[in-house]
Amino acid sequence: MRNLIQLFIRNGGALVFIGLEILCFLMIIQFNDVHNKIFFSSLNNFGGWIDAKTAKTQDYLHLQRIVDDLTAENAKLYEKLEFQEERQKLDTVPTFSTADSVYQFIPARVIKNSINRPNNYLRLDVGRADGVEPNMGVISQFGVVGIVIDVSENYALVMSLLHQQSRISAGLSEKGYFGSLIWPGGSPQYTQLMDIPKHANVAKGDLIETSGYSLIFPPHLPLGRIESFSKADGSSTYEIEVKLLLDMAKVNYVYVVKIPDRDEQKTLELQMIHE
Amino acid sequence: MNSIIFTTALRFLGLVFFQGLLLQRFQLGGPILGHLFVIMFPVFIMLLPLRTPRPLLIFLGFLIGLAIDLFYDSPGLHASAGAFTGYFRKFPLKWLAPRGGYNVNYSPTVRRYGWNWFLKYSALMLGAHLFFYFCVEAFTFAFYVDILLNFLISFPVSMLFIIMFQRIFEPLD
Repeated sequence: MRNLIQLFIRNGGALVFIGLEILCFLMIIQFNDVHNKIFFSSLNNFGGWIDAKTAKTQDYLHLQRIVDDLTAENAKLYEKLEFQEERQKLDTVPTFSTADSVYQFIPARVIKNSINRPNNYLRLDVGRADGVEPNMGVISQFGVVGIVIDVSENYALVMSLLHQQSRISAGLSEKGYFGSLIWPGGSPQYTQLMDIPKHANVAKGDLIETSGYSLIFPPHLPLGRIESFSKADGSSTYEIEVKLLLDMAKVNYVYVVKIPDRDEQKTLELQMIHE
Repeated sequence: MNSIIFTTALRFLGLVFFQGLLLQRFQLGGPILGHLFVIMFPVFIMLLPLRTPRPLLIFLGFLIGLAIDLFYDSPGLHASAGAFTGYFRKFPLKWLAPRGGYNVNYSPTVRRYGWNWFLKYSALMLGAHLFFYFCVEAFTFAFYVDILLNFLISFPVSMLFIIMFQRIFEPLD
């Protein structure tokens, strides 16, 4: 206490000065409109500057992985191109509708992502202005990422594959059995495939692909491989554990799937239900 | 002792009303005269007795600034400049100290230390005050041209008012 008093006697002027200036500063930004605006816009500028720097550094740290991803995607596109060229050579009669023309892909960047909550969501930097609408699928080159549930003008909220309510129509396309892929929670790498009948011939390592029935995702999109399966007593279906090809923790660049005649197809389905 | 408190209180009120009611309205437009702000109330801080404790000096500077702010409708602006001038006062006093040192019972006035000394002292004090005030008023150095113009145009006129104050009242303490 005596030290404190001595400190004040020695530096009283400076302390009073600093205290009063802080008080003045608070009054100035509180009660003067112009100063208030200058202060908060400066604060914003500074915050934005920090954010931009952080994002830039993070981008730099992720560059290697992004390059790897893009190279892999490129390779895949080349494969597709080769395949198409081969087919064109073979087919003298042109097909009236190629499967690819049914889908449009809107490239997007993931700006927010979570994987370790019971229900996970992502945010994308595309929105209504870019043609994104709710119920569109979101994929990356390694498989399904999620489904758009809400859009604003420039952003989209995506229900992650890692969401308790996410249900994706998928199965063993080679063998022709389809069920739904759900996420029971827990590890972000494992999901469960439900409703595959017991008479199906499944094996460890089988490739699980999307079915394309739901009008959300294109068919034959690889999802993962069977890690293990079991037959529960009293049930007519398998319990299959699927290891995802996609590491949800690292999704960065994705594509939103747009199916132009989806509404038409849906209306048809609805009409059928009503009849 | 009592008389100096009385004089100081009277000077406080007189300067607040003169600055707040008269000089505050003295605002012209135009490219040059728009930059003219006559500010003479810092003379109150300049003339406080030499023995005034430093924290009290700073607080009185803040207080008269706050009173001026009531008239200028700018809470905190003049108060911060006043507190700054109070804090700053010891430096010009140190630089301009007479050979024999100061008599702590005096106030730094013309009649105690002469015109030559007082002009240097008040120019330094007013310069510091106006510079600080115009910076805080602009609140960003983006307007440095305005800050500079304000300072260059307001300084001589304000100085004139301070000199007139000394001529008219010729205060001893």
